[in-house]
Amino acid sequence: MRSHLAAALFGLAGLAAAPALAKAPSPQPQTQRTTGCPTIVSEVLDGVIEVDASFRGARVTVYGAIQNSTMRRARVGDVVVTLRGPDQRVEVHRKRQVFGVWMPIQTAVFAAAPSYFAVAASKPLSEITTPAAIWSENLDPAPLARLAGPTPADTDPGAFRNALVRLKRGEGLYVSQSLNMSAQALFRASFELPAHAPVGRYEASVFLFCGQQMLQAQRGAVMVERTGMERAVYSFAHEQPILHGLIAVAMALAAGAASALLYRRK
Amino acid sequence: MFVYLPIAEMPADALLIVALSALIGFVSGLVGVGGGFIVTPALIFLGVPPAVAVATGASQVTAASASGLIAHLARRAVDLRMGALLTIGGVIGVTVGVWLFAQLRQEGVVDQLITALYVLLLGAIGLGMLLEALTAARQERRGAKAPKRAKRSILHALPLRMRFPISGLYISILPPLGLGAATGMLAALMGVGGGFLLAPAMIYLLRIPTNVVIGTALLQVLIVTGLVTFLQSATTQTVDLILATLLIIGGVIGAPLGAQYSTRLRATQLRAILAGLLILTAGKLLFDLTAQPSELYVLERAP
Repeated sequence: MRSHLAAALFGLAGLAAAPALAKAPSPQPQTQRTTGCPTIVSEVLDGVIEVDASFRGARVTVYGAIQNSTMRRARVGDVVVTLRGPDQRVEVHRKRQVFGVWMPIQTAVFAAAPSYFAVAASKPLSEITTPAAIWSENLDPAPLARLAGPTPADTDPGAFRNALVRLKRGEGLYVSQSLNMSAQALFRASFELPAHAPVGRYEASVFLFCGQQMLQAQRGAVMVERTGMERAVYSFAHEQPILHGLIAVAMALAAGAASALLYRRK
Repeated sequence: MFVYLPIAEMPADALLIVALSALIGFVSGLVGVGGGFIVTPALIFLGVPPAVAVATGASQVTAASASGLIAHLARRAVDLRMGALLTIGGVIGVTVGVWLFAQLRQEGVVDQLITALYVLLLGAIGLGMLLEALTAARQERRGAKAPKRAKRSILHALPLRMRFPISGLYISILPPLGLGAATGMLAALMGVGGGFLLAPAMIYLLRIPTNVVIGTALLQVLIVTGLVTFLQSATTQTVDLILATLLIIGGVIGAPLGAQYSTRLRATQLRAILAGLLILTAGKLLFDLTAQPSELYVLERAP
């Protein structure tokens, strides 16, 4: 597993003024500060991840520290870090036995669901905050999957949603893990981005919770981009599809002819 | 040695793919089947998205059949006239098949229907061939001659007859055209060359001599899979050139070896091998269709 170390800073803008300006971008903004609650500073490594011919996955690291109002580090509050990949349209089929054959005849279409979603929390989410906040702050991938329409009659939409999450977990694309927090209130979340995670813009978010309330959120982006030969081949396929097809066929014919002639000469 | 496949969007072991493709190429060279019906499921098993597996698998079959075809041409074991008719039918079949596939896709999930069709066809042809090969082998052992030529059939009653000197036939052009079209349609629907259907049909329906069948079938498979590769690449961008390169390298190593080795085997043995392959594939497909799945749901990334 290669780790790219192109460091990109984010979230440091609020560093100096952080204690006063801490705010939550949630539908119900936390207007009052819980006394004794700290703020966070954080940073994401690997702002750009290059997918080239040797790409076998990457590690995205988000780290930071909790500090109190006197800018000292304090181990108060809970930290949740999420990494969310670009949304994708996805279909979930349910198999039913028809004349002895298992056919995936019932289909639920999700117009948009996170292609990748990882969450790291300093303790189980249910202990950090309320179910309502887990939904509103997008800490869980299940409610983020948006159905395109009603599911087939006599089916349970929740079952399709659960299946989506379960299958994505099985593919290593939905992940929950624990967050390492040191005694000095330094935290670090390392997400393993599998090689089959799609390219695109990934959003890293760091949340600070105190007394079940979301106090502060910092966001940053990680770009997963094709590069080098990998990019050249991909863009060629999409920009010159006809030429690409001709080359694929020509390559096959040439290789076949070459091998036949070589073997014949022997 | 791992490489990242740009269209399949996954890393894969290059040596494993080359070795796998060489093995499949060997088998296809041996029995004259395109190998697509092994390549595509093998790629899906390795984690390649099905659409990419279908389209890219076709390019491997193109390369393997090009190699095999040249070897058979050198031995004058290709009936070009028959091959041309089969190919014309094949091109029509692919065109209709691509259209039909799009229509069926809109209707709902067609994969299972197609797979069920596969099971029936492969199973029936495989069993038939196996029985026939066993009977022939028994007759050879007894020293008795196998029946030399079939009786006149419907093939001889149809209009538009043409002479096929290499195959020693004087039959209507309609059956080869129809057979080519049927396999071309299957190629488009199932992403396979159709050689595994074409070769037995040529032997048992058209009564083409076995030694000419393989080379002639390769000609049709070459054109049909080449067309599928091109159309898929041009319209859906699902051909992965890196994966195709690896598959082609393996295919052109294995296919000529298979073709060379095939001359040392007797026709009955070849047919028994092909029959065994067909039955195994049918059994696997049947199992997949009917076994209680451990996971009732499947994910599909929509385009």
